[in-house]
Amino acid sequence: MTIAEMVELLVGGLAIGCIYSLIALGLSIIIRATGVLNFAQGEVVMLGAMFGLATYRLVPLPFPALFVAGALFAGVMAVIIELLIYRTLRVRRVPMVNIVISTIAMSILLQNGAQLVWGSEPIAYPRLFALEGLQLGPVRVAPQLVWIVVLALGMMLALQLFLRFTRAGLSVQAVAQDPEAAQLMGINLTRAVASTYGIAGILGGAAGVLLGSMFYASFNMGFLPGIKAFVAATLGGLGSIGGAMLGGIVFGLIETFTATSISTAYKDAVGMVLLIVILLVLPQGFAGAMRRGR
Amino acid sequence: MSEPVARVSPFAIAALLAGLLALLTLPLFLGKYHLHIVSSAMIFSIAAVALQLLLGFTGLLSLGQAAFLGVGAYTSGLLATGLKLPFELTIVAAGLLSGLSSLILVPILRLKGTYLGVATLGFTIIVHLVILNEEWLTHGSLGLMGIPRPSIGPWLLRSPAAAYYLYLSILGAACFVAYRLVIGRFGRALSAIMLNEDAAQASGINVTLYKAQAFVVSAVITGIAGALYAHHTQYLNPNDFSLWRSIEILLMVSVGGIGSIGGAVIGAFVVMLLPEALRFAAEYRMLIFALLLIVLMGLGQNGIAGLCVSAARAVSRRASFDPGRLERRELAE
Amino acid sequence: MSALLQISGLAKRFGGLVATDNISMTVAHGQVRGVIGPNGAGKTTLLSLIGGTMQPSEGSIVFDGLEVSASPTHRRAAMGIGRTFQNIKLFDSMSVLRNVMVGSHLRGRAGIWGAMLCLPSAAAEERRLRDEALAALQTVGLLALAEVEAGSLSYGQKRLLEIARAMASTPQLLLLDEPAAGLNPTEAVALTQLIKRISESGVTIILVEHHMDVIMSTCSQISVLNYGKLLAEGSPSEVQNNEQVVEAYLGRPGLEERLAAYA
Repeated sequence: MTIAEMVELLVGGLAIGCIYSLIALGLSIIIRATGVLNFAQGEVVMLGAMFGLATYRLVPLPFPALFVAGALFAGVMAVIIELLIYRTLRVRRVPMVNIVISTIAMSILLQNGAQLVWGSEPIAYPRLFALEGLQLGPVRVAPQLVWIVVLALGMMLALQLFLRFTRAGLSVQAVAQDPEAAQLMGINLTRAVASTYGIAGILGGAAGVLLGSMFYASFNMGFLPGIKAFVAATLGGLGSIGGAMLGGIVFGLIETFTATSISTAYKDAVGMVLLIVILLVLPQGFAGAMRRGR
Repeated sequence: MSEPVARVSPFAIAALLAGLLALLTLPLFLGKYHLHIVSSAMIFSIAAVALQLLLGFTGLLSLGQAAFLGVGAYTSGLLATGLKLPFELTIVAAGLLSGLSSLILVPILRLKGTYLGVATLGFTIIVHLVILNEEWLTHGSLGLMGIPRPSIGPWLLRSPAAAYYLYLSILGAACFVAYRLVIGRFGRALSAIMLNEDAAQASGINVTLYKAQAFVVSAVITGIAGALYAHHTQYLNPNDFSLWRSIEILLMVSVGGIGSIGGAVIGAFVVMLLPEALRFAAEYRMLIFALLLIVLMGLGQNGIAGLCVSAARAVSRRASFDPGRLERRELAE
Repeated sequence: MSALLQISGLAKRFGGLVATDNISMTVAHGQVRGVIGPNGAGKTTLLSLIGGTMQPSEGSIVFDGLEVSASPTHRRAAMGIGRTFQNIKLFDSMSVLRNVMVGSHLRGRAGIWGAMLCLPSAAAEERRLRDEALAALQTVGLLALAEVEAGSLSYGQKRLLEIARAMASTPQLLLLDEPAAGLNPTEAVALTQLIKRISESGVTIILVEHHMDVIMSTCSQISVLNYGKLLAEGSPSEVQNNEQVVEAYLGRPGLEERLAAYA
């Protein structure tokens, strides 16, 4: 493998890894705030991709605008689902398992709903990028991948800024730390949890547009990436933001390098074997290891 | 995750007898197609009971059940088509191989909660990919065809009703084994592990050993269910054993009620048969199914079994009205 | 009297934090050993090291003539070390009786095969364990609550149930971690009686406790820990008159007065 090919692969792995990171981040902040493992996060990704596409058909906007549109739509959908369904269940004080199972039901609902609206056939994304690669010295990189990495990292940066420096972000953090204390401090729990789902939705929707632009959009496109992001979030340490980002990128790189150097058919399997091995060594993922090291 | 109760209420006995009677007489009322579907539900009930043993009685979240189902199904299917081994042998081999494959996962049983779920999920994905890609063995995505119907000795169970009774009796055996395992010293150790691992250890329970035993038994039962599935459908496709199947079995257990063996059976029937019953709704049926699932979860009970328990309690409360009780309840609230 | 438990040079460090440091202690057969000291002195860590929920960084623990510091908790339990927990760890959704029957796990043998094959030996054993558990409940005075869910017991009852569960394995050495915490005076007196009765039945006890009445009226030997180190050791009166101990407790007038009350 030449260095140029190596770099190309690295960027490709980074791009897919960033997408996993975005989805995993959404899963992680929801787990932190509510303890719920959201099985429907992959379907939020799908909604983002579909809406980005629908926007393009209506008005052929440039890619960053589609990205924003898809992300926002998915965010709004996630908030609606939270307020309509999960919040109702929480208010009724149902056991946590029931909420997790209802996210599985939500996943079924959204997939089948999307199939009714957009059909079963995968829909190709329009060609939004120049085909010839960007020449950086001896290395040639597809502009699309660069866009994906830049946009995804931008999203992650925006998330950090939001969580650290805005009132809404701080209240999300506070609720994640201790919901009861946060409420005593005058934080509106409903609003904080809804914003958490909203942010997770925006992250997922953004990932959806990026993923759609790499491959295609279809009603069930979110399931597998959702599961992989779940694995990545676990690898990072459930509920850890840094862990989710790292886990996603590591997972994307493993997958890409396995696909080219070992076997395309088994690219997912190698990631899973590594996952199991890593969990054996670090039973609480990367974040657990960092905490222990301190 | 409640405790198995020592004294069984009369409602439970009545419900059990009624259910048994219904199951025994069902072939008299059903046509061939419906009997086929009900038989499938019966087979998945066995898998659900096996997961219940882990989730409801040991506190282990396993998303690896589809893998054990797949190992069992393909073992049985391949031995029956390739080596023409008789059904009795292939089904035993399926259970054994599935149990053996679960031994690989014993080291990860020390993982807690969701972490264990994710690690076992990884196992399901690995086994699915092996089934999909090792075409020389499994025929890959073409699927494995021509698996014979179940037979006992010289008798081929040609009629769907005969096969149905075979599955029913194996389900009965699985429930009996599960029931025996959750009562008594062994089951007590399992629940102790589920409820507080530290205290269980301090009581002298070898947590790793007991978890491993429960896990292997669950895998053996699931493997047998897989073998039945192979001989029942007579055709295997790798995608029958994808991760989604594991989630489906998890749904069965939660819909039925975590911590109840009967609940697992009910849950499996609901998850398998409800989409069939909703056929009239055509392409909307899965939407309705999902909505019903959300409503059931929103009732806040531990699945259908939990719902039944609360209902029975409400009835018996009304039957033996005690004026003091109301007051006490108000105080408690 | 021969030594049942011999600890030497025991240390436990968490990163830079030293929880226990070079502790040596010999506990004779049949003794009731009190372990006292301010919060954070390393008392619970010491019990966890003996019980096996923590592995020591250094040092050895010899129990009944065998080095056990590397053995897992369940094996130590099988050798005869029973314990209760500072923050009560019951099986809340089990009945009181079933909690005790988990405690008598080691008194039975029926395993997975016995259960599956419905062996008559398993059934007989189950009846025996049940009777033993009921007897244990009678000892602690919880017999009437046998079928109640453990989680719904009062705080004091939970403490007693923990002791009953630990006793159900018929341990040689019983580790009690602040059994009197949160008890009212009447319950504390009853607990004192119970500890005496357990001791009279021949069980060696290590008792970590803040409640001085309980310590002084049950223990024959007391070890004082401070900042993870063994500060003093001796009979109750020796400990009370030990200058270092009094000094360590200075600035804690409550404790000092209570110590003085026994001088």
